Amino acid sequence: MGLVFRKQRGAIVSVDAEKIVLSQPQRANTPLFTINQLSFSVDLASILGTKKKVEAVWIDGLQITLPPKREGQPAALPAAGPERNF
Amino acid sequence: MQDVEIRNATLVILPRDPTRQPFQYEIARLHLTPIGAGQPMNYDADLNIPKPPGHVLSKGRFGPWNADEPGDTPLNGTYHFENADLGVFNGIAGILHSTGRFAGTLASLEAKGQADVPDFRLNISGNRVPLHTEFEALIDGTNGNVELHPVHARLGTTDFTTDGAIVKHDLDPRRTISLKVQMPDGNLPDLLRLGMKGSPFMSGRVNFQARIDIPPLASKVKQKIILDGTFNVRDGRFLHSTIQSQIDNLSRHAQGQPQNQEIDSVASGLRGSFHLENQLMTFRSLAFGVPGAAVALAGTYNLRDDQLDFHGTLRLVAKVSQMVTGWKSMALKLIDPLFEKEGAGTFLRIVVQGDAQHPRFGVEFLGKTKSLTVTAPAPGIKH
Repeated sequence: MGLVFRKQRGAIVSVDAEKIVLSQPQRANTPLFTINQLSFSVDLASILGTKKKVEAVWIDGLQITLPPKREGQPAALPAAGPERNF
Repeated sequence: MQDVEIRNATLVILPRDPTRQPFQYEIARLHLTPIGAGQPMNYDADLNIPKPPGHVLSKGRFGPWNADEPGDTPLNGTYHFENADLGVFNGIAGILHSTGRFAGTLASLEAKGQADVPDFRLNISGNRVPLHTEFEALIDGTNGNVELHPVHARLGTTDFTTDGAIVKHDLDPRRTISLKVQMPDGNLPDLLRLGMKGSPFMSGRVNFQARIDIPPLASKVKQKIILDGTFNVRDGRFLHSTIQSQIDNLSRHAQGQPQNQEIDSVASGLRGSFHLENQLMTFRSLAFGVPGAAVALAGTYNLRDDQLDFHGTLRLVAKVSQMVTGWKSMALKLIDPLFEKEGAGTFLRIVVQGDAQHPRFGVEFLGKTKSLTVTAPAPGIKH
């Protein structure tokens, strides 16, 4: 508790999660992200600070599913989008 | 977040048509280094490409994430594609190495780079001819469509350009390939080495223009490919001395100077206009010429049953009597008027039929076809 109230550093929390699914509200039936395993560690003190900081995140089994453009949006090819600067 | 290390990631791009297969990229390893909220991330990634099978290393910038249209999320970077085995494709082989840059969005990328296949070969010949290309392409990540802006290529020592598209149309189950090839001044041995077994039989320069279409049919490429174009070989010389000797001999006779040994190592010209469809190669025109002789043909070569059917003309500067010497020449003067026609000293209507390995040459005369013995490749002159 002292670590938290006095904002002392050193209390590290490890977080492990499995089977995470993130969907957009308008496309609830197609998850945007699915993550099989996720883990990260965070210093508790940094959570209470104004700038929250996680040093490193490990992910195994990430799937990103990009939905097609919504009706009325131009198709990707031919590109009429922004200028491409290599 | 300072670092995100991801293993075994998959990017799936869903097509608009739900009955179609999604487009999928397997990413073995992805390392993200976030810069800050609302800012792009640095990434480096390691991908395994299934076809052609190979390994891609890529690094660049990704984001910021576009939550409304994730496919519009910006992406740019560089890539190295190593050891891609082209042998998975019908008819070709070689190991491809490619490097380049790309920029755009997850769903639509403009790529610019170069690709090398040092041991490029066609399976029909097996001869290796190095291939180098420099390309720009627009890649639609939602369906894998590729629009090639002029690709500058070098095959051996021959430069050519190609442009076109590899596109899967909405209602088609397969891709349509449409390419235009332009080779204004190719080195003929490069093409012969690529396309034929053994060493090239002819030197020369070649101008080749063609359109290549492969429709989205289920059949094999050789059955569905459509070619349309022209070629023109200049300064052709046969590299096997026996054939070149026969060509020199043909030229001597055709010029009416059968004993003139100064007519030597003559250049041959070959040009044609062709259309291949349903495995039938139609030559709208096919012309072969050496000093003093010109052959002009039109006809077909059926790739299914290996049958030739060509009809045309043989025009020689010399009259029949001028192709031989001595008493034979005197005797043949009587028949010169029969063959002197349309400004040619000798004018014959000829036929080429049979198969490619054993073509039968004939002369059409007074409505009948008579076989002509040839020691070829060009029509021989008996004396």
